[in-house]
Amino acid sequence: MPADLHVSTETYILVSALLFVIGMAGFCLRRNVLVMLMCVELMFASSGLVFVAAGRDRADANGQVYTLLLIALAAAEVAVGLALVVAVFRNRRSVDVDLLSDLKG
Amino acid sequence: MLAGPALGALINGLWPSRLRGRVLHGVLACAATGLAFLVALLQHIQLGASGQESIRQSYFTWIASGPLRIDFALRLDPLSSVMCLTVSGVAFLIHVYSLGYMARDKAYVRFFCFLNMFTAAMLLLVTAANLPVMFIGWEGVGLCSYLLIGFWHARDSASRAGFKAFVVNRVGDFGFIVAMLWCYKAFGTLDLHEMAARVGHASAADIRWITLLFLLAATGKSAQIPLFVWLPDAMEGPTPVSALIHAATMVTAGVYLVVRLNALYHHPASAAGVVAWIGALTALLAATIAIGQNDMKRVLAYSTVSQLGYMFLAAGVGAYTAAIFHLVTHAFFKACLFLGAGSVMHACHDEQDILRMGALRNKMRVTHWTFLASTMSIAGIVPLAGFFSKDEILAGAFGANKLLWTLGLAGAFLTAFYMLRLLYLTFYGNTRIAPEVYQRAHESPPSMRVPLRVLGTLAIVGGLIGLPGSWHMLRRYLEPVLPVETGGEPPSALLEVGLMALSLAVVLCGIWVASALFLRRVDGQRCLERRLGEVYVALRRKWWVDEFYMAFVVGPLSTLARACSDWFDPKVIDGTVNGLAAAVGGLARGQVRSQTGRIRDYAIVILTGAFILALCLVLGRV
Amino acid sequence: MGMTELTAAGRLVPVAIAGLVAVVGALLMVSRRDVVRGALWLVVTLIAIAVLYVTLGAEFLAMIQVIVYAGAIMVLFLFVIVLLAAGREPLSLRNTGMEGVAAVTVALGMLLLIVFATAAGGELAHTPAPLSVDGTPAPAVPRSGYGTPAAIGEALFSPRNVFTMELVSVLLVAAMAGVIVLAKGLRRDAPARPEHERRRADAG
Repeated sequence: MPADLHVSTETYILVSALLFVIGMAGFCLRRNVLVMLMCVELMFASSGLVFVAAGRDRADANGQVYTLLLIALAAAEVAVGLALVVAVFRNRRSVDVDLLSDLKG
Repeated sequence: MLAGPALGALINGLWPSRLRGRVLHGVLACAATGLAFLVALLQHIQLGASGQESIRQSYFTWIASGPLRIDFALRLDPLSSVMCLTVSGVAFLIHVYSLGYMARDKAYVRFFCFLNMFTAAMLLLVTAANLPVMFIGWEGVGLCSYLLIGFWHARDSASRAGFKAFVVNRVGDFGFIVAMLWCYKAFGTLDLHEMAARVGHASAADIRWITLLFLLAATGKSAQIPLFVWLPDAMEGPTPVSALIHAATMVTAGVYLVVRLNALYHHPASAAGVVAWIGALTALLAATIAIGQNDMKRVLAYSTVSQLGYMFLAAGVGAYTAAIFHLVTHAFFKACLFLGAGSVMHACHDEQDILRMGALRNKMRVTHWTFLASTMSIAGIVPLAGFFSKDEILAGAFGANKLLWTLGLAGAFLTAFYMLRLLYLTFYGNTRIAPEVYQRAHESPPSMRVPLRVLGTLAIVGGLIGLPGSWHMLRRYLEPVLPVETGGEPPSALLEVGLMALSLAVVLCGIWVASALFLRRVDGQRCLERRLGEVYVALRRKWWVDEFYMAFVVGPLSTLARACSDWFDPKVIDGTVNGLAAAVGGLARGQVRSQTGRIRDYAIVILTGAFILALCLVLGRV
Repeated sequence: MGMTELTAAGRLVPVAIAGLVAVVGALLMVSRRDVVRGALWLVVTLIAIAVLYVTLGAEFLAMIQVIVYAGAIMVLFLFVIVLLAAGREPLSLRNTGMEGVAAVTVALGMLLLIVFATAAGGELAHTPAPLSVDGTPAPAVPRSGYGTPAAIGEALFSPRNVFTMELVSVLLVAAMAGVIVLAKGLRRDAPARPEHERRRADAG
């Protein structure tokens, strides 16, 4: 059953923007690598929201398609990212990204 | 075929080895030069027989760049033939002389190597068909002159003299190069023959400047005002060197240059007048300085400068044949004089001060009579060679400008005077030499005597090739190459004879004065000094020309050079380079600080960039 | 049902609530010191987003969001968090001042920008009229079957998107392989063979 509420698209974009920006700030401000990855996820999610909203705005099903693919993409990225974190954690025993500054200078 | 002389000397020139048989080297060198002479002779005959005006031989294309094409080519024509014969002949005699003179020198082999090299370069110079090839020879003789002047390089004064010669010469070379380039611009070719044909192409300004620049080059090589200062210093070299290079051959290169380019100097807009005046003034100036010198070789050196001035005077007024004639006779008697001086020095244990000589007449007969003959020749006594050649020059000068003629005449007086002074103080009167040296003074070995004899004889009879009037063999021979000279022939035979008599009288006056002072009296020198007073000091000090140059030219230049090397180079140039490096390094170091290695910092940067990008996008669309 | 009977304001309410929940959840996620709590707040946010999807008429996608995103991905996150015992570490939120200021500034700036862009309205959206799946210009209002799997499937497997879909599947495989490699820790200097030989040597 279609449940489109016909609310203006700008609202969704606003929400999405807020989420994205929060994710952005969080990424830059937290030192725990896992939290950073979660912020990335947040950014992904907000992007997905925009796609769907825009798709609805144009009555284009492709919006949902992109979001679907985006979810798949996020899954892949999370898997690899976490695997990396685990691998690094084995050596360093810490999840503090500031300690991962071997490329300094 | 044309390469004969050049090659002959070249082979030996570039091949000094450490053979034990030193004499062999010397003989080889002499043989090479002798061969060169023979080839020159053969070529001379060949040229005459072929009936052609000139023969040109090209060996390879040296430069081919766009429209410019320069061959390595030599040309044989009457003028170059005369020069070849003179150069190779005199060079041969001097090589032979050197066998004896340099016999005890350690660097015997090196000497002959350089001597040969020089001969080759000079021959190249006179047979060149175009200016670049001539320049090779030009530079070559300059180089060899430097090497030979500074031959005894352990001696400080010698190496400095060599250096001075080279640097002063360089100024002239600059003139040559610029003139050469200008020639190409004006005529489109650097071949001498072609240039002569295309004289009409160039503008008057072109001609004027080109002739002036070549004159600069010639004054450098031939020691005229303002570049004559190197020649007296060049006496530091061994005497055969002085004889060959600085009397008979290299210094004549300047004269040869002007005569060779007579097509240019003949042009009304050329600097021929300047040439003549410089020649006359130099002749007079050098003659005055010669009076005040007590070193045998110095007197002869200034004499050379003076006589070269006469040649320039001749060339300047258009009497080219006279210039060449005098060139040849001068080669004879001047070489003879120098070799004689060497002989004397040899006998007196390297004494060069004539105030400490005397009464050598009986001890060294051959040296004496050849020296006497050459002195008379240079003074201009009939019927010796010098008389005819000098007289022809004076006649030409008379026809052109009376003032020039007067200067030349005055110079003749002085020439006679100082040469006779030299003769008397060296060979006549009472001896002023230390007794034990005088006891052992003896005549030179045959290797030195024979060339003296030959040259002395030539100094006497050499005039035959240039007898005035229709017997003038030289003029007839050179006619194809040299145009009819302006003002060369005085209008009437009576005038000519009159001029001859006048110059002869002047010369005899000079001789008379010299005899009065030096032959009959013992205190001639003191008398002279007293009479001339301060003038004598000026003469002795060469009119302070060297000091002048040092103060106004060398001084400022070396200060500038030192400023550049000590301040400019380290501070500015190195400073700039190092500064740039330091700046880049500093910049890099500053940049490195942004590489914190922390992901979050990088993230901030990336996100900031993304923000800016979005900003641009939005603003662009608004 | 009776959806169309709500007023415009009335229709806004669910969206506003869901949106608010999402934002608050995000804020809380970022600020929690306990990483586990943070992860849970993220789950909340994701679910709120799913609700928003429903309000947009994309119900199938909402389900996917809950099952895959909030369900699988976040569970994976929690697994790793617990595995690494990362929740226990007290890592401070604040760090060197400069970066914090910069980050917040940029974030706010971005926010303002987006708001401005949206507020500026339709001039910024110069995209051509949307086409429906079969190429005919679509109506502005979505068709009735907009959020159904069928519609999504049609769009997904259309010539426009099918290639991308295949690529994404390849990407998933690649990610899987990568994860396995990383987890196993590939060691290149200890092949299996010497072990066998060692054992044989021991035996013999």
